Amino acid sequence: MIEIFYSGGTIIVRGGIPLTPPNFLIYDQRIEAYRCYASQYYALKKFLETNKIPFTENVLNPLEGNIIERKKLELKEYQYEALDAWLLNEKRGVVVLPTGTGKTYVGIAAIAAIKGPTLIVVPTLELMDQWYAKIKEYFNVAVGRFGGGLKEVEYITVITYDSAYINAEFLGNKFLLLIFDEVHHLPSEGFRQIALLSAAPFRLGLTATPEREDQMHNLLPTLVGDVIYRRSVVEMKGKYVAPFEVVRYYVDLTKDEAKRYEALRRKFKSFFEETGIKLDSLEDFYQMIIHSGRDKKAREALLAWNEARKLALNASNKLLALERVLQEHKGERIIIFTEFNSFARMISIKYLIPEITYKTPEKERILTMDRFRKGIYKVIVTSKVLEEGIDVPSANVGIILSGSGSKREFIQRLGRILRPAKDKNAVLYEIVTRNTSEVNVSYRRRRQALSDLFD
Amino acid sequence: MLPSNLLRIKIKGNEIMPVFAEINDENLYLADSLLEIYRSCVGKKIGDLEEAIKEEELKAEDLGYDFKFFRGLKTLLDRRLVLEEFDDSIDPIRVRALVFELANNYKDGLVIDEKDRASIFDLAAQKLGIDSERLKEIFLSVYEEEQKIKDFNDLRPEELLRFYNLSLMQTLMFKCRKLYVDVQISGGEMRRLLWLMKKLHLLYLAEQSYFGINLAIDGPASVIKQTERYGTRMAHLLPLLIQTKNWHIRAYISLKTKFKKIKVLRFELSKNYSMGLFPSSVGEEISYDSYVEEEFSKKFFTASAAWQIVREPEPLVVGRSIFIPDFALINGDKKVYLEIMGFWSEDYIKRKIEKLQALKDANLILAIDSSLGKINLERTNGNIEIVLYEKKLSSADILRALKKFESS
Repeated sequence: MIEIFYSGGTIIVRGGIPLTPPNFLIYDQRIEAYRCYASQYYALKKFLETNKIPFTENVLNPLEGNIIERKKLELKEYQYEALDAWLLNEKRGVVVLPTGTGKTYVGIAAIAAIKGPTLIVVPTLELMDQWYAKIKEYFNVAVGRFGGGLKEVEYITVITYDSAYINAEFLGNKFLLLIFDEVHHLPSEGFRQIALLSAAPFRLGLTATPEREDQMHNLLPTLVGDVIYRRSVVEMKGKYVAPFEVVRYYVDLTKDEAKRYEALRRKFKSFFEETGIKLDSLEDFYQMIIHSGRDKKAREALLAWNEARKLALNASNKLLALERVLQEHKGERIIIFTEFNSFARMISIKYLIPEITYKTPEKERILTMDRFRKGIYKVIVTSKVLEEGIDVPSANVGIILSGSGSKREFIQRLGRILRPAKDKNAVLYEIVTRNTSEVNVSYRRRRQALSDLFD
Repeated sequence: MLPSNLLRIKIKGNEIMPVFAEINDENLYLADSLLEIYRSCVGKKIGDLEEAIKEEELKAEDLGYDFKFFRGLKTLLDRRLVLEEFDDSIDPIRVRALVFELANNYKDGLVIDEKDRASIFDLAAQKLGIDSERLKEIFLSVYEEEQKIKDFNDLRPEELLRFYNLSLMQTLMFKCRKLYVDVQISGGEMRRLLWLMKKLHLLYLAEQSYFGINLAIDGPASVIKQTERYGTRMAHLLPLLIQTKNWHIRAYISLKTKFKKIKVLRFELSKNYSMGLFPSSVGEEISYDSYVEEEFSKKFFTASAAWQIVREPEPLVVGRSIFIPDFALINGDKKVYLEIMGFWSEDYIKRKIEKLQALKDANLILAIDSSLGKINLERTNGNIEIVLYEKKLSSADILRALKKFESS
């Protein structure tokens, strides 16, 4: 008789197959048997059953446990709709909802519907802590965290993409439901293996922005399922998210900074002129980075470009503008965003405002988030860490001191302040250095993001 | 292993090669000056070390050293630092929380100038009953650059360069899709290699080769689609492989080129072409011998004059997998392998015998502990002799079985 069993993220089929095997089964000489990705589990079973081939199986080995609802889950209308769409689609698929509209609750509802061992994959440690707290709030169940030094595997396990990638073989047959938070990360070359090497039949993806610039979101249907529910920010503005405005302040470089900036620009410009390389696209830039490994001049030009960029992003006059905005919004809940850790650190020490960066010790990060939520701290400063899905219920002012040209980053930063709060308009400030490349960068991210949101 | 962005490579056609650091005066000079900085920073702060390193890097670049080489050495040296543990009588995170809270409630919640800051630090210090300066120190102590260096695990400059070369080669392997190794290897080393591969979820196909055994190594899912997934794990095999008597490595490395196309390049290196480039020893030996085998080895040695006993002889290829017999018994040009099966199930033994039938050129004695259960065996080929024993395997049993091979 044929035997199918799980092995290192794949399924091995031992014993002769009397028919032509389906395409996804590959003969493996090393073990003298057929093999396929664990994610083909159901397709494989279907093949064997429809062809009446008897088999024994040892694929899923789900964690055992008990899950009891602790608190009644109150879903909003659109969250119900999303859940229904998922249930009707054989418990597979991607739900697209704007940041701040409670995607997490759709995930919680999915767990409540399945009542089985679940792996929740998240991009950051903050999100890991946040899901962990939410699960504990709604269920009596063993919950584990896996990532950032923790390695707990429990009936419900919250794990980072990095850890899930590294441990995919070990995790692949222990869960029935996979939830991918911020699922747009999943299609990348490495991370997609988390989905491929898992036999879990039920899958849910959550995101505000499924599309990827490299088009790899086309893989989502095979990895998780089709987009089964989608709502945009504009559809939900005012009703479920706070009304918001975006305000831009310009500052000048100081005399010394302007001088230095010009010198640096001349340096990398002359490099471009001499070599004929144009800096029109990302590809050009990539080319230049490759050059810089071997060519000292290219490296110097790249360093000059980098320093000029930093100079514009970290311009000292930005601090004056920052102080003005802080004065204006005294007592309100404010998040300050910077591009670089060092700038966040400087602001933290200068104004004695707690910082959250990837270098912040876990204990302090958790404490700071908690105190910010409770209002013991009114203002926090962060670099890239807070961009994704962190639950910061009542922040209503965002200050972008510096950032990249990324549309996604802008939308996510906007999302931080879109939690509905009573009688308060949300404001997102952008502080931009005049007469530098930053003007274009900020224009690019804003135009793309806003046209996306209001389409 | 190094961060991938510090990998240095040369590409020529379809060949890829790490830029190894030769053990010459030029490279020894750089290694030596870096070591000097690390030694001199014991007792100082990480920030001081970083300052000194930054200065040295500028100097090194002026002298024409590749900054990736410089930073590669620095990465290895950083791992040899021993940092001082925090004074845990006062939790710095609690101190910071107090300072931030006081600042949040200060005037209108806006601390702007030096005076504001000073008064907050004073207030916090008062509350905790410590000195303001001490408080400021604790406040900053969570930052990496404020950590104190307690010690540094020193090493010789040429050893640093050799460890760099090994790390560099391992870093290249991160993107490896398939690894072929041709090795002259002892049974003990092979046992460790197989154990390591098993632990790392790697698979192999084996075949007899020029040096001894050729292994084609990749992972379970590789057969469905070639992947870099197992590259980092393959890198873990290298320290062991470069210590074998003779080796040749061929690895297929995928590289992203312009426009995100992926190109697969070949990396090849052998022991003869890398003399002196790598550390001569890495990590300690581990022994996997069981007690039964050790006992038997001693007894047999005294019991037999004609036959010599060798533990963990060279591995054999059976089909496409590896078999390492427990012993080789040698008498002149006669060689008989001995495998002792202390624990078994009937299925296991039958499968094993079936497999070993493929060993046409080698003679083998299979010693089976029959006290563990009843066993019915069909007749085996002439080159496999079965010896049943109870609990203790005696030398006489084996010598009797050897007689049959002597006459043939």
